[in-house]
Amino acid sequence: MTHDPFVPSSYPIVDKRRETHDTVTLVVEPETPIVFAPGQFNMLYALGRGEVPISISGDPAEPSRLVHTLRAVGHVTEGLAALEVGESLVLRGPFGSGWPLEEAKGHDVLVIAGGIGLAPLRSTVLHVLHHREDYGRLAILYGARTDRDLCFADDLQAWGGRFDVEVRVTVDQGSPGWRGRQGVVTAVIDKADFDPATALAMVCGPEVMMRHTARALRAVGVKDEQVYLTLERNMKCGVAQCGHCQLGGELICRDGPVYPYPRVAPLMRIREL
Amino acid sequence: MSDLHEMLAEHSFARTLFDRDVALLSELARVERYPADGVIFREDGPARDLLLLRRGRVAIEMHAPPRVVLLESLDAGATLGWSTFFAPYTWGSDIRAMEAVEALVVDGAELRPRLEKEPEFGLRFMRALLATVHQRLERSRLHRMDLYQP
Repeated sequence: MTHDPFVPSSYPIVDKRRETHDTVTLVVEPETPIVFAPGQFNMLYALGRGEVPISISGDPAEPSRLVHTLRAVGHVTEGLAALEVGESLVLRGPFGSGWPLEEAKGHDVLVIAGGIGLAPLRSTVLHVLHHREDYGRLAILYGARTDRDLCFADDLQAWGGRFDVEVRVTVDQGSPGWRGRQGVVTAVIDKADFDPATALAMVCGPEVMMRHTARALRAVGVKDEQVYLTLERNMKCGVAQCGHCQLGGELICRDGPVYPYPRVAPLMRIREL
Repeated sequence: MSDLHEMLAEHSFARTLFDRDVALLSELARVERYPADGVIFREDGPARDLLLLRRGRVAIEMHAPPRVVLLESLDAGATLGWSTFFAPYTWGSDIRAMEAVEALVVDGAELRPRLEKEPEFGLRFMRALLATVHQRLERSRLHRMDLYQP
């Protein structure tokens, strides 16, 4: 954490990976390690453009190597995605709540992500893999728009090659010649191997995907209380001062972005919010 | 209990059926294997069988020359072949094995009169079939949302 949460720090980018046609991973190595909890985010600043909240996608066991994965979908993220190795990444944080990794100890863990939603969960997967004996079965269910939109393809292959991780990837529309699964991510939930009575599900993706994922989980016996998800709103200050990310009584930058589903489900049903 | 009965009982389609229902289905069932890339059903072909996938993955495809469009893939545990139970009793799309497939195949043409003759069994069977259709319809609607558009 920077001393003053409003004062950003600047770090040279030491590595840049192109995940997909519109998604990149930027790596910086702060002199002072930045300890974070999987699920937390930083505010990344594109000079002259603005700030955006971006989840930390790196390994929590490597706090001296800070990794962010972002999708270029707007003016600010396009500016960030255009940064190259050697240029400065300006950021402040980390902010917000993390995934319930303590509560998940001793239980099966379901990681369910859609699109860029795998980024905030990647650090969770890495944490569980580092502490494999603390958790039960680990299933990673990941959906993307097309096979060209799959993030962290190398990681998915590596995780899928392990005997103690189940990986199911599906795309909404495969390219010609695609031999993997095609269909929405909710379609692979009932195929995964986990104990529905005790498993914890950690879900990240578009809100409609998360709502339907919770519904599909209920259909196989996973209660809403066992489901956690991460919300995204227009975060500005990151420290619950400005109110831009308010959702009902929640200030997502401080109270979230990771929430137990029952706490935010009623808010997610209000169409005007 | 026959092997077929046991295999049917293990399939998710049979989750809500009674054991005697499964026994009846097993009388009409057989195991079929299809090689990777083999065509299982062809659009407009006579729909006679209900398939309960045990292993492998299939593609539901539609031919729109010069394209073949992959609509959805289904993994082991899926049920397909509903057209067997509804007029005009022909397949509405192609089904192709994406990898080697093993399926329990229930003779739907033989099963149809049994469903009429034994309405309680018929109700339980149709509920199981409707649950599958309901699940797939929900997924299709979600698919239509184009969830991950920028």
